Amino acid sequence: MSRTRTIKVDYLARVEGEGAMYVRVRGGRVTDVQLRIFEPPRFFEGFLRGRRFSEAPDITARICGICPVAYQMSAVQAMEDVCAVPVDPQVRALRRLLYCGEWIESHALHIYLLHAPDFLGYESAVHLAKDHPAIVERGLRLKKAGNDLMTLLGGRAVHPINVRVGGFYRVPTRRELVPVTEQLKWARDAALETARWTGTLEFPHYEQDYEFVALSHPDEYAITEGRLVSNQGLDIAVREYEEHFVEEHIPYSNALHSSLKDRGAYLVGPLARYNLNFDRLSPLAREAARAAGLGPTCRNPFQSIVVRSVEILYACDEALRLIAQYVPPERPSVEVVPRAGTGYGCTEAPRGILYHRYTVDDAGFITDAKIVPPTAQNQKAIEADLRAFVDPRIDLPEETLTWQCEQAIRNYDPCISCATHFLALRVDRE
Amino acid sequence: MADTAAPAAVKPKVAFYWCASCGGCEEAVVDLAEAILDVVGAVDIAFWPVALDFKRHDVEAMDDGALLASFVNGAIRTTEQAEMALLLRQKSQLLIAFGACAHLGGIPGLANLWDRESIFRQVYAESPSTVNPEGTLPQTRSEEDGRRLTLPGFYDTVRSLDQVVPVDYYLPGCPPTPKIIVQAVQTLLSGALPPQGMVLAPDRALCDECPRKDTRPEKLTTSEFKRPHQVLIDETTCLLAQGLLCMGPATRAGCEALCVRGNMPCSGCFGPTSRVRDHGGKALSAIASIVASNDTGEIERILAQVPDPIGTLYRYSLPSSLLRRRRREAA
Ligand code: SF4
Ligand code: SF4
Repeated sequence: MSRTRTIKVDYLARVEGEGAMYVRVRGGRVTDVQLRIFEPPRFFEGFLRGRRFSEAPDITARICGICPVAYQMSAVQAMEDVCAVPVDPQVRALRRLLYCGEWIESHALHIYLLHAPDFLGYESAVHLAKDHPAIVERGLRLKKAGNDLMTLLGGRAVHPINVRVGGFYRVPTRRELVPVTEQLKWARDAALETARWTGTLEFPHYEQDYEFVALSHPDEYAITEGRLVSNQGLDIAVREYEEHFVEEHIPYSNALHSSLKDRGAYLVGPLARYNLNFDRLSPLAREAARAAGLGPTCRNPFQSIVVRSVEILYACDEALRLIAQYVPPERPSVEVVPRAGTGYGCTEAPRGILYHRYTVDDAGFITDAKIVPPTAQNQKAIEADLRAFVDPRIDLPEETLTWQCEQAIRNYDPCISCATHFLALRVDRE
Repeated sequence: MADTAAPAAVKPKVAFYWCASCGGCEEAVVDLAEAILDVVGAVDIAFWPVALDFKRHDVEAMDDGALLASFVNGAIRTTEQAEMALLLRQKSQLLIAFGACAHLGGIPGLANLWDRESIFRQVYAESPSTVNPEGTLPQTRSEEDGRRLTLPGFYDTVRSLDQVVPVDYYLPGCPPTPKIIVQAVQTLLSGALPPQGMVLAPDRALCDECPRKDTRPEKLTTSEFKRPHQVLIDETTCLLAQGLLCMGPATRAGCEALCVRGNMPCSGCFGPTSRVRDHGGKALSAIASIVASNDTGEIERILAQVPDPIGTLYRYSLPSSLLRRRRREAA
């Protein structure tokens, strides 16, 4: 076979967005790997300027319909930081509860509808459903449990309403949370089963020495707040983010690539959280991880499907705990007086840390915005992975290799729609 | 699964495609959960990049009109998206704009404000005096501003789907609610097609189906608009009556007042009813008409308190508004 091959995939199916992958092989070696994102900038950071500070949560939610809560949460956190608003502990708990719903639904979507078909040799979940309806139905029902929790707190699962700077528009009574409790108990069992089942899948032997980056919190598996830490010594407050991370524009992609200053690629998301915060998972989740064959560290990105299952389990467990302890706050929200300043927010979206920074003027209008979504942060790591992954496999038949590469990309659950990033330089590209 | 009823060959073929979209509309389809498995049984999904491994050439190989319906979400901002819109139009008997972005331009359409911010500011915030009942303020002003509203580059603009190809039906919402999606699919599969160009949601104002409608005042007695972050919002009284800017009077019904039920003012994602050309303009005039004053100065004073009028009144509809159209004509 020819020693010069070019593998091109023009549409990456089953990733949430538009992207293409390009791998160049010369003389039997991989010489170039490019993940192209051609969904162009959608100017969110640009048009956030001039909007009210209070609108950032609802507007930025539309960057990603798969993880809108993450956008709302990072945005409210940043705005509450600007305005120095104290958050009621029960409001904080409710936000965490809402976020658990998003983790459950987003992970279930990825595991069952996007990722599992790869391992079981099916083209898609629709094909998988023909042979294994029970599996797909469990996935959909699990997703629905997450959706229903979000709907209960936010009116709907896609772009929930209700989150506002200072609190919520409306908070539920204890009674209102009862029906979802039963469903979450079912979901917890289903998540246990999911972890068991994904643990039996066959994984290619493939480990990488990543720098993992995630939020970390002393008392809980970090979702809504924490310090930014890594397994290579990073330990900073969220507001120091831009002193340590840089973003560069890569000519072949419309998304910006993030890297750690002086160190380069890093990985965010379930694998990073798991490795950095394993001991803060609930006992049940830790046990399920062990039973599925995972130790406290996991460096095989293909096993991220197991880690996601463990995180669903954790989210169900945590949601049940939060509901049991819930006492409605005295008021759904506190008054917020806008003031000039800069605020920072960072939370754990299902795919990894999502950073927001806003500058607001004294009348409450946004004058500057910066948003760094998880997929942009993982892009460099995905490319490095592909390079390492393809090298020993270049003699595989074209179709097999292409398919395996697509699969390798899907390990990251890349939400390409949110990797897209405004960049002024790109404006007259077309 | 329920695909024993009819041989695969006679199942109608449908496609889903996304353009400049957040993925929420796709998610809304997936979230029909059990219902979606039935739909999957009743139709043959011929193209759906987010979920299925079909590629563009599979669509290109189809006969014209081979697809019964294509559901396209997201706005149009790239050549690629425009090409796909054209291709799907050619291959489909029915093209459906799915969700606020395809319908009206949506939130990504606010990008059309980029670097013309000051002009819009001037148009809206600083000249409330040109408000009139038909809501033609943006039109007038942009005519006056003529050249300055000219766009620097075609693809620098976000367009709604029907600004690129003819659209048969629209499904409103950001995202459309399960109820209206299911109703629309049933309608389309039934073969009893509604008049072309219809928005597949009730053609009346949201206030009509709002649980608080009985508390809506004839006249707005408040002399100022409050901002949601300043007040504790009562959970049963009309939001306008509380001095909060709710888009209900100018917005199409169909969501069953989802936001208001969550104690949040409507931001207008279903777009206007069929009698209204310009959603934001209609909202302004609707509000002006219930302000408890006949004194234009007073009306202006109250309306001038609407912060960020474009982001508020045209949150989802800027590309398809008169503002946008005027600008294109001027270009
Ligand atoms: S209409 Fe709303 S949910 Fe649908 S793609 Fe646009 S932003 Fe997302
Ligand atoms: S209340 Fe308004 S913004 Fe909310 S879903 Fe309905 S139409 Fe959309």
